[in-house]
Amino acid sequence: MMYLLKSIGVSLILSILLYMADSYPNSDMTNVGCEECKLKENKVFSNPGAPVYQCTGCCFSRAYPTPLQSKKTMLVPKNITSEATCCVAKEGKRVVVDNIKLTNHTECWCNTCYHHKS
Amino acid sequence: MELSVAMCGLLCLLFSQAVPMCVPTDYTLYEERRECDFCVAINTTICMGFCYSRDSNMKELAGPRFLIQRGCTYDQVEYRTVILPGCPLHANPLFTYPVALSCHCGTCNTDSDECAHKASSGDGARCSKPLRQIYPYPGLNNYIPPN
Repeated sequence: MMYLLKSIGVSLILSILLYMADSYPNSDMTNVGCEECKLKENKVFSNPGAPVYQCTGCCFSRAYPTPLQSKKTMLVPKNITSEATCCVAKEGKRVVVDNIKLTNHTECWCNTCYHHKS
Repeated sequence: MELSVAMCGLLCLLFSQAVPMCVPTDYTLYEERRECDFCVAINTTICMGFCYSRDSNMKELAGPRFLIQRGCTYDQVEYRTVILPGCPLHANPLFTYPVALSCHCGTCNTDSDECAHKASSGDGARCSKPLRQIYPYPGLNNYIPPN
């Protein structure tokens, strides 16, 4: 009897969890769990009625073996090539918040990373 | 006990969907050398996926200090060597390539990697010579194909 109740309980929980998994948005599975690049309010600088937005989110990147032809053109040949895009502001407006000059982002996109090197 | 195990398993499965997907991905590498007769296709794994980044509202004042910029790149890597077929005696037929064992979102290491600014839309021309597929044995670090 106890075993039967336990089995029913497990089945019920599994069904609920499967329903939750199935209800995830039907989008590109490679980006599941990684929010898209978009405007998000920067609560540090935002004031009531004067929000400041910041571009934040995930962008595509990859690293792969450097093709032989590309290696021949390199001054210092590298075995791995890393191509990255980063979430950056496409457009913004200059604002002054608490005497600090800021850029309020108005549009975002995945584009050139300038500071992803170490 | 069985309930705990089942719940753990399912929660792990669901949670794995909630993290950024920068993972090892199957990739076919095409290589040809001028002195060799064939272009070879080699199956390997590369790092590919999505990583979190953030732009700064204070770039003019603080520069890159509050920027978060990361790319999907190799974490653990293994190098494998194959012999390219149809190469003359004076040419070096050995070709060594990296295989991604694990990946992570991190900065591009300029000492070892070529850090390109933007992901290209395509891979360009692959081969101009007849194609040969090379199938390394699973688990073998150095594969030498038969003649």
